[in-house]
Amino acid sequence: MFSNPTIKDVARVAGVHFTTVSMALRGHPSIPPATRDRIVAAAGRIGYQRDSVFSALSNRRSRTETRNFAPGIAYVVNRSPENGYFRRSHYRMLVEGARKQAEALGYRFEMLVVDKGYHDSASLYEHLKKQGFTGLIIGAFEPGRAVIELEWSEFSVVKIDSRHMHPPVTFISTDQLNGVRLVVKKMRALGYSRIGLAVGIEDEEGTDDMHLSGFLLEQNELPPSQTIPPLFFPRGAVAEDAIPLVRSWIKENGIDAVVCNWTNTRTMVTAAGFRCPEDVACACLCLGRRNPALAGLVANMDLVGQRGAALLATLMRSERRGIPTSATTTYVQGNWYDGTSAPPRNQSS
Amino acid sequence: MFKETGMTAPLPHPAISPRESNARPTMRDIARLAGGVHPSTVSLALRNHPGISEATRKKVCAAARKLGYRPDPLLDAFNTHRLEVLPHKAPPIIAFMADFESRSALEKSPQHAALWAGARSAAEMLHCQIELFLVGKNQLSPERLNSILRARGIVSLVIGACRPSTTHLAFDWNDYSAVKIESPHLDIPLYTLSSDQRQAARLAFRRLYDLGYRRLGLLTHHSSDSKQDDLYRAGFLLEQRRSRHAAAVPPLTLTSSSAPNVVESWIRANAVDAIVSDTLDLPPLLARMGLEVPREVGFAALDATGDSNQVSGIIPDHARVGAQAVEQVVGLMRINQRGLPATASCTYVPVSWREGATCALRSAAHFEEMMKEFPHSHERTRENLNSLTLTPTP
Repeated sequence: MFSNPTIKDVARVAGVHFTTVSMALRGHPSIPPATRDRIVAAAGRIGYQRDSVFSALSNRRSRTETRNFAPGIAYVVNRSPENGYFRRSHYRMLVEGARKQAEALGYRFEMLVVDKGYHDSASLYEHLKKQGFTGLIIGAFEPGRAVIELEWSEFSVVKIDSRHMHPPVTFISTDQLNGVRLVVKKMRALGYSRIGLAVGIEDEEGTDDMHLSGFLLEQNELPPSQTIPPLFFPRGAVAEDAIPLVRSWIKENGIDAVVCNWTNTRTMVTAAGFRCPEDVACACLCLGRRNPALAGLVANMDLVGQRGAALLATLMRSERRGIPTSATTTYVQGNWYDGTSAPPRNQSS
Repeated sequence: MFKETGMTAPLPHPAISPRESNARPTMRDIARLAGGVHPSTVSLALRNHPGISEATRKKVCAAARKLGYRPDPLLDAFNTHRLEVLPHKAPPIIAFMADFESRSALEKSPQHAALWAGARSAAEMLHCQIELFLVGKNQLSPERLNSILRARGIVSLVIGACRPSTTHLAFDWNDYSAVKIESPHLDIPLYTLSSDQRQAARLAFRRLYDLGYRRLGLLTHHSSDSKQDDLYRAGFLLEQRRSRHAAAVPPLTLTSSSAPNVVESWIRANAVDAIVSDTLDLPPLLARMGLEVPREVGFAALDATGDSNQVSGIIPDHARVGAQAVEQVVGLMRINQRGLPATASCTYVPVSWREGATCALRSAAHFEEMMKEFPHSHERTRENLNSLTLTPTP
């Protein structure tokens, strides 16, 4: 009967003026509770729903001051500046990429922190509501630090990394699978033949085994005698723990090139007692920026941030909120740069 | 285009900011500051429309910058919403390029039919028109399509999944907001949409493994040089490594030149007890070898779309892939992002498992053995099979 009921339809059914409907549905005190209940029941019966787009628009129209009324995208992180957030360049690039994209699309953008001395879930929720943020980017939450739990159905949400964390929403990350493949292929092209993969176990688990998948795929082409078991640094390991493991792993497998996701790869190979690149070359899978002394991939963190904001805008535009039935994952590739840690083999040997 | 000479002379400066200082600048304000062009010229210029001259575009952009103009996402959302009520007179057109000789050939491929249907419904939702263009034998060449699109002013393009034989597309990419679907063999760094093949292989492996199959083999097909089965292999190899039963069966890849008996000798030599494959027609072949499915050999298809023979396997969400492609291309259109991105990126859409008749719980003995090894694995299977993250086997 009512394909798209308006408050006028509700008014007709309830036998009141439509402004009464409007006030009653907003819980205005001058409407008697009995009338309000009758109107609410009528609205429910004919399936009236408040149209959030229209009400947002009329809200905006009724104000002359409009600057604060652009819909907002909040970028949430779980490490405070005091704990060194901005000292990590890849975090800075993520935020900047997201900010640029959000602002190009006309959204307000704010970075919010969940950490000691900053927000917790409750105060974050309150802030988002009060400031009218409907879009949320969970920005590379680190495992082992604060997490958030919100009423997700009220927000459009995407996640950058943060795979360990609820909720399962649209996900964006760097492409470790193709990253490993690209680096292994580059090292092979440079003349290395016994290429090993070393990654921290947390990084492997946190990326849904993308490193290992890529490595197994590259090794699949090789005869069994040429395959090399990957090395996983144990949970919580730091360089001192990893160095002896690297030493025996290189020795046992006759490795001539190490591919690793730690940025101190070259230092570790050297500390393990090998000359780099004369004995063992190395390349890093996730450089923050180009490093002439260390060959490897520079992750496109700003592009990851950009894609995050762009995918979020798609959700916000079509009013898709909460946890989707099937969440997509998006991966952004990095760029290879040569470095002195991996010169062409025929020159050094 | 607009002739400035025909206009009344632009008002002197006060007209530039006639509004209150805190009001949001509009296209009219920009039009005035840019020397009295029409507001619709401003709209077109800010969207990089090819019909606006470079000089005018620069002038308009400079004025917009000066006034601090920003597009209003709320109005954008409102417009999207309003279009649901009011029919749009000339909706923007998205070209969907498919690699087929005829429309009926496309409709006959359940995967491509689903992709196309998904793309169409997303276009409808976003109030765009979508048109199918066929390339290939007896159809358009990519060059010809390029010039048709140019002549019609169509700037958004979805490259529907290309068959391996199509390896080169001569488009002037700088003219288009474009995305592609799957087609990893096309070496163009376009933003790509794909169903999650790595997850598909993992899910199929895990399902068979949890039913008690132990010597699982991956059988894929590819034509020369294509990389189509890479992600299947990536997922399969990962699960194979994870399972405790080492002595892994090497994946078998068939090409057009493979000998006819290669599958049988692979099965016999490796004592394969379950096969995960990208083709549907394996069970009859297995029957001809005298192998009983699912008792002797289990089988799971990596894409069981459109199968009516109750094959067990993966159902990718092709319609969602098609829809996502359109959503992405509309997103690019709105921010005037054209040309090839500097770096490739890919979005994967999750898949799900469908029960069928080609795999079964192996036997009481097998099952007990499994339960002894992994007491919780069966429950875990139920919980996790269709979820995104797979719990690693201990």
